[in-house]
Amino acid sequence: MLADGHGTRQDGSIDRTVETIRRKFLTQMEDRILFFEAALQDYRSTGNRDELMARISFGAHKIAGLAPSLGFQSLGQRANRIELAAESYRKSETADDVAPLLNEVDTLLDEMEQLLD
Amino acid sequence: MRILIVDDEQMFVELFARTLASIGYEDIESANSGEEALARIEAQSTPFDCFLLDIRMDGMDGIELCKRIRALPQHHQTPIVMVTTMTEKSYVDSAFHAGANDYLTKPIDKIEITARMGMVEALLSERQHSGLLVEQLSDSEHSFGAKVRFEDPVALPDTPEVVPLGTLENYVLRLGNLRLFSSMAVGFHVTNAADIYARTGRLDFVDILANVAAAIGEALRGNDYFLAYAGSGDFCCVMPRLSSFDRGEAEVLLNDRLARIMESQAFPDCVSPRVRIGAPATSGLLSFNDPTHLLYKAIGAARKAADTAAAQPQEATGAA
Repeated sequence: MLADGHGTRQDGSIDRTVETIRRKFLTQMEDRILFFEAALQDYRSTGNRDELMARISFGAHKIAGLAPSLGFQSLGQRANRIELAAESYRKSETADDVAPLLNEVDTLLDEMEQLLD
Repeated sequence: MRILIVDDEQMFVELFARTLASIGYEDIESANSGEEALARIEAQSTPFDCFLLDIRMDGMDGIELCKRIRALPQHHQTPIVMVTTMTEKSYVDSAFHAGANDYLTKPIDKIEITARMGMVEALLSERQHSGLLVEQLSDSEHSFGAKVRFEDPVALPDTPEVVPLGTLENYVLRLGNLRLFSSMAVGFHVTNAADIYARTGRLDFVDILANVAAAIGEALRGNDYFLAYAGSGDFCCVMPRLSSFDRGEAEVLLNDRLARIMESQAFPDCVSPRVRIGAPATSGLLSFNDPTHLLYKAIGAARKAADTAAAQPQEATGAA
């Protein structure tokens, strides 16, 4: 939830807004999961690492910026770590092993699926 | 205050707008891309008072958008706050170099937003006080001049190399002491600023300070720096600790450049400004000081250098 240092009359209204957006976020969770799975599937068939990292970074960025504000701190933090790691892979000139990042993405997808239950 | 939020995540825009409304900012518009934002800005008959920009967006990113907004004459000084998950120094530097005044990290926090909007209000107030200099030049000297006090960190005209003091403070605050360890602050003191202020009209004083800023910019050429005017004839800049900066050489170069600029301009009853550069100030890795302390330490060092030089009047210009 939003940190709240001011007891304004509109806080109830904010809570309702957060709840509405939170529901919308959960409704769109499946699309976000499919986004990552499509990126992983394409990587398996093309082996294009740069493309994979760009897509993972973008998908994770979308979650990292929004999830914590809606009360999904763990999801947001993991997405943030993934975004940073994917960006680091993109900038790296050496062919670093992508397995640790892909494991982290798997964990993120598990966490997202659990929220759907 | 009319605010434009630009973010390609519509749910975030809704959340942010609602939070702003809860603390009293209700005149809010939004755009989901840089391109849409520019179109919206162009379509406005009354300019926006503040921009809140996401950095990472599809198409034009927030850094490019910030540069484009800053290039618009009506928004040279409009507060721009970057709102992002990207916390690395390279992103913070890019944002401030592009003209941002502050940097807010997602996830959003109501207390933090309230504080940053307070900064925006202060910037708007400062702009009202002294920033719209170009427009005010058409006013009588008396009406504007009376408003410029010696100690004011006034906005200097035609000085793209100078950021408002509040922005420089925000920059070091966003870096924090740990990341500030790789930077240093350098102070510049116009030793005869009070004399110039007393002898000249206020607008001339501000123009002369702009000349000083231009000369400092030339002396720092080749370095990656942020420079601000702090009032009372003091400037401060922040640059990488490993910069190829030679204090003595820079001081000679800038005073020489300044003398040539002043020769080419006719300021009645005016002596040429003389500038002393202080020893660079650095921050300890585990310092508990407020990061802005570094800026004032640098200014203090420049004043000390000026005092030392004043005690040795026979010494030629140039740092020891």
